[in-house]
Amino acid sequence: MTPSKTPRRPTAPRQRAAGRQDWSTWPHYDAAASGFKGYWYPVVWSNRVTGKPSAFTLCGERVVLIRDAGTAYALHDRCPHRGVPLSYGKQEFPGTLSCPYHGWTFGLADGVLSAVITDGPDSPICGKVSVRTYPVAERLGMVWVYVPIADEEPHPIDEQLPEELVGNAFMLGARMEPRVGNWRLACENGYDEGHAKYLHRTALWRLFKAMPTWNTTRIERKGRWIFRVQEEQYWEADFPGLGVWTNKRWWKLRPPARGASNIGNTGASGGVDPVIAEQEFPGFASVSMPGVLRIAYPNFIHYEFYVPVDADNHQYVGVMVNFRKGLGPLVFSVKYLAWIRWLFHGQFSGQDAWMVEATHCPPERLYRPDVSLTSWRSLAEGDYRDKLAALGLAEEDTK
Amino acid sequence: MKYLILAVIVVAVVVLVRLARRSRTQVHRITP
Repeated sequence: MTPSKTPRRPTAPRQRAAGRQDWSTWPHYDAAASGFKGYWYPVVWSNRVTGKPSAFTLCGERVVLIRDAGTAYALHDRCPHRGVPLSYGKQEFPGTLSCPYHGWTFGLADGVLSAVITDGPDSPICGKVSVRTYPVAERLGMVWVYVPIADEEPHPIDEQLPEELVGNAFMLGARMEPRVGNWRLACENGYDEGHAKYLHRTALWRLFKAMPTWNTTRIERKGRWIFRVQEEQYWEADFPGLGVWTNKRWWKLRPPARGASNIGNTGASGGVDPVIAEQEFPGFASVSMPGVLRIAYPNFIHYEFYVPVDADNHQYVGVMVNFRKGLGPLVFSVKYLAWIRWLFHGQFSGQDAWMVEATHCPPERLYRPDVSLTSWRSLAEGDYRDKLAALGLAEEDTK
Repeated sequence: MKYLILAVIVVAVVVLVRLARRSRTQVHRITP
């Protein structure tokens, strides 16, 4: 009788390299927990900015927004007298905003204290105190605010918008909403090569369209954008000893017979909108500073702007754009309002919000598709370093 | 009948747009 063998306990996997412990490889990116200053950010719908002041936090700075004579203004939301938010106040005189506490009244254009209601018309402090003002622009039906790094003049906002959104007519449907989580995690999630095919497999937006199981990817830079270029797509995969896994289902459209498509990630289409085609995007997903995602589909483009509120919160701005003419805008509006805003900017994007809120890193152990993440971090790091150099700003100016 | 259907569609679009403008989602026609 042969002695029975003691069943071997499965050996614990050998301790692998612990992975990346921090983001010190990208020091500016690592330090930008509350966002990169020196860029324009969409903060609120234009029609929400009225003569009644409203508050918003951007890059960790409290900002009060108000509209006067058709122009939107942004000021630091803190009265220098006793620190009361100016957004609690009201407009007593044209072109000004008054603090609710003692009636300190500031000019909207220059932020200078122009009157103190409780100290009479000859108050000697007038003209000696001011609050910071911020450059404001209005694009895409939204108010955009620029938070300077130091005291530099802002670059033109059109230089920062996606190129195809400047000079073309289009219809847009968009969602702006506050979300929990750092803006960098939201941006990394958006550009993350690996997640969509698995996380979003249950999204109603993809109910009838299969996504690949996996694909090979390379990153290509074009201008100020980096693109994820899908090289080979695999619609199912046989994992040794485990079995086959696929996103294909009998009710979903069949994947295209041809190879990888770099417009959209679900396969065939009847054609590509001429405005989108003329952009000659190398890949369907691209990202640029200061955290702008662009996903190009055959007939529309989806953008995500990750607006840094503070280190723990961001604002999600999801924008879907359709360039069609004629009845196209009307049809797009109906489709957007009836289901796209619920299915895509709602449930689909809500899955991303769930993951962003749940993500806690670094430390992290990255895998092959995460070249998308490290490439984005390198882009941000390099572009911001170049920006500081171009502005002639030293590192200490950015603190 | 077709005018009734058209009217219903137009009213539905107007209602949807008005509701949307009060919510977090909006639609806008952008011209250069």
